Amino acid sequence: MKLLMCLAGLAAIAAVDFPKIIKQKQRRELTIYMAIFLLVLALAVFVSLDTNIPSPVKMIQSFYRDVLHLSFKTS
Amino acid sequence: MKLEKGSISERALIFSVFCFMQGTMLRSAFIVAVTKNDSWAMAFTGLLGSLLLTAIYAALLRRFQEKNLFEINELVFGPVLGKVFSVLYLFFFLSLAALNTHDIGDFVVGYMMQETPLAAIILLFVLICVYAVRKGISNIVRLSTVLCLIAMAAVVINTVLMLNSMQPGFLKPFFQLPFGKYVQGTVTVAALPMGEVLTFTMITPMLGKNKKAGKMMAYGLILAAVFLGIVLLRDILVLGPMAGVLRLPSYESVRYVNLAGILTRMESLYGVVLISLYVFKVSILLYACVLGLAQLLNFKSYQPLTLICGAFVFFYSLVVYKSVMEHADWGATVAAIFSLTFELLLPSASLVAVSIKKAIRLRET
Repeated sequence: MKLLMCLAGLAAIAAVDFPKIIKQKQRRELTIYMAIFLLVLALAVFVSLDTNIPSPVKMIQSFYRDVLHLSFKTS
Repeated sequence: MKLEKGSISERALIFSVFCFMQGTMLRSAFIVAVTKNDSWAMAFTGLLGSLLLTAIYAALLRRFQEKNLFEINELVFGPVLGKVFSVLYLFFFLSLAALNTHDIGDFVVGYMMQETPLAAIILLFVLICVYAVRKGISNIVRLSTVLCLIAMAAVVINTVLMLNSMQPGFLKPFFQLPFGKYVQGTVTVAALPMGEVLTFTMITPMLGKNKKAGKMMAYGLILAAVFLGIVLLRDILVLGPMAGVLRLPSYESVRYVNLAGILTRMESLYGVVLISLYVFKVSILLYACVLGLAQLLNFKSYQPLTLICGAFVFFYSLVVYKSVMEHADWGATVAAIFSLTFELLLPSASLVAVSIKKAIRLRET
């Protein structure tokens, strides 16, 4: 159900944006837009299937705290 | 090629900075958890730090009139390294938008609409922000004047109505914490709400030529710091030691408003003001992302990217953190240092590069 809703939402976005870009006959812009769209689509599928996606913020936190040793102490 | 043709006034910029900062009242727990009953003073020490950051942005904006942060990167570092810097800033703006979006979703689900799924709240919220950006950011910036007056009125009225619940004794003992705690509090205020004024470097070209963008941002920050100080002081005076352990002290304290048993539950109204401020803040962040991405990819207009960027922020905000505790840990440990990387380190690098270039050019002539 969640996946269907996500796909419907992204289809709506495509229906709004693609005709405009195609009408402008900008091949380069269309290609880039499609790449971004596919990235968001992949993210949407993973999120809607409840896949355990690592949060970039958590990775940054580990990098700053454990690699750079730059963090405030909690007490 | 200019992607944004709208214009804004200097006064609107001051109010916009104020509204942008006030949205972060929800996150005052990050500060109160560290500096407890002395947190009100951090609003002013943090302001000093953020004015230093603003001075760096102002110096850059003065040297590159009518250019935004991404354009400045390309002019300073060239097309390749400039784009690397711009990608880093883009990631920062996207992360801020996702974190703030998740914050407001958590707030609504936790305090106002417990039965509603988080994704539904976030979806509606992002749709409003996307609509605001698509209709032109200059419109929402102009709206900041009204929003600013409402936010100020909300703080003043709530504070006056809470006067009978305040206990001055809660302010004691004065400044007894270890010095490191005050440094942490100052850095947190300077970086987390106030340093985010960096986002406005994407908007300042709309002021036009020879306008003092840095000065206006500083005025907005001063105004915001005064109100942040008032809110923190009010929360400490009303909640006492509880302020340090509650998730949303500024919201919880408004629950104490009780005027003869008639005027109660004011927190719902305050919640609406906070949501409006967050709409404003995330719209500005989303605009910075969309405009920056359009410039990075050499698009002729940023309009086609608004919906897809909004969708990305929506999904990103759903995975950005899994629990409130994770977010609190992020805020208390790394958030300020992470923000300073983009708010201090990268702009300073740009300023140093500009100065070196200028010195070389002067020596050659």
